[in-house]
Amino acid sequence: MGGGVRAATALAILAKDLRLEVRRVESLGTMAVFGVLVVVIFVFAGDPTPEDLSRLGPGALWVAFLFAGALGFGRWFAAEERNAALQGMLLTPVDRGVLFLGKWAGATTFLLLLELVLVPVALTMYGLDPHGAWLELALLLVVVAVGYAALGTFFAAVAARTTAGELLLPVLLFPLSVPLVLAGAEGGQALFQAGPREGYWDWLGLAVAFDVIFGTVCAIGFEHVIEE
Amino acid sequence: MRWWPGSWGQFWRTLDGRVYHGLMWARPWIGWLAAGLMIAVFGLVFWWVPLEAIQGWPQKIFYIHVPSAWITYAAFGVVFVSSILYLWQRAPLWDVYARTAAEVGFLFTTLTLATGMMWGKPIWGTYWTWDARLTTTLILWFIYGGYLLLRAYARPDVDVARMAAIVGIVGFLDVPIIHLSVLWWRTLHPQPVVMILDDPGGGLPASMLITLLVSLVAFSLVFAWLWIQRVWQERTAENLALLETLLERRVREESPA
Repeated sequence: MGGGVRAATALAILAKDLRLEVRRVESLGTMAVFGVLVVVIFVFAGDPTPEDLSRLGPGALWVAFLFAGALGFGRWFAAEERNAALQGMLLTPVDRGVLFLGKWAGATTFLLLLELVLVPVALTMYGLDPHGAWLELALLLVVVAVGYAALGTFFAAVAARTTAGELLLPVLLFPLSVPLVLAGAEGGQALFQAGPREGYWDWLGLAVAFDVIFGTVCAIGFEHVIEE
Repeated sequence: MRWWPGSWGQFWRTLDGRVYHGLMWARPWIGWLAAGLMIAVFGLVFWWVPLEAIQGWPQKIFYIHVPSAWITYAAFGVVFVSSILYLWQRAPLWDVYARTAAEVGFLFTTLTLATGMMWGKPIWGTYWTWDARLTTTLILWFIYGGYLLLRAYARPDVDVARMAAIVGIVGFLDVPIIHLSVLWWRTLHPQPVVMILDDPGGGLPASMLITLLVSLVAFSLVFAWLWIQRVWQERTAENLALLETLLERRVREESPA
């Protein structure tokens, strides 16, 4: 299979997932509303002052992102298990790594759309201001979304193959996502501070390394998860 | 089977069986050695090694806590190596090694956290602080737990050995990154206001160092023995199931309907 065919196959899977979502806007809508709810409910955790909010806000934003993302991932492979859709895909002579790339691209798209809703809400409600560093913030959001989508896609496939299903997904996914959450929260914190952006590039670098390592490992290891 | 394999290919193909025979041969020796050394450790800890000047009695938990922490990482290493070898060779024994090492490793991770908290209360004044090493160990505990839950809840039609192997590899690869990120996270923040001692390994007197080393060896042997026992149990259970299947077939063949 040539590189062009691989790319076309991954794009076809991505297009299929997006088409499904456009036709019944259930996952993304629910994820977004759930994420905003987490952002709101966090404020009830002890009557925070504006200073508290600006200090803890970035962390709360990532908690909301993590939870809402896991909710979406839960459906990510559950839908493929329905009507033996996954078996159908496995019967095609497609490289399993390419299959992963397609699903990964779809999950990344979903997470980016989720951030598009969640981040403005959190910035407004927590009174966070990146002091003009919008590009840096966007970069951080994309890098974290890509890494979380890789792990999420991988573990959604794993969880779909257990009887516990979506219950097991966060248990597997959250501990391994700790570096991403820290990179997002601490890197974000560095941007929202008024002073110099100390540590931002270190955290971004860590998140990029995480993306590269787990994108590769999950793509290579994916066949061991989905094959019968 | 000749003791030394003819080629590298044969070496890897037969390695699982060789390891098994080695473990079974060493089983009684390791068991008795572990028991003897463990008694020696208690003797050393409670009667021989002098009481630490500042911390007093709580410091003695150090001789249990540090070896447990070492076993936590060693067991995860066994899971990682066995998982890779399973995916490569597909010999069921590698899966047994990984699964049982994770169980015993989980036990020692729990022990590490528990002894750490027991020591932390009198010395630090708090059971828990978000120190880098504590946090990493806690997350490791969750990863082990998730791995064992996954094995317990895999659907019956799924090749659980294969899936768990790749999850074990992914989990292991994440540990150094988690540790690095938690380290950065802690050093970028002000430290909690508790008494944090210097690295206890630094200026350790000879008597304490000897006690620690004996304890490390003893705990390694206890881990090895528990792990070998579990491997042996799993293997015996598999053999028993095989025997039952064969027996049922034999009965069916001999009694025509």
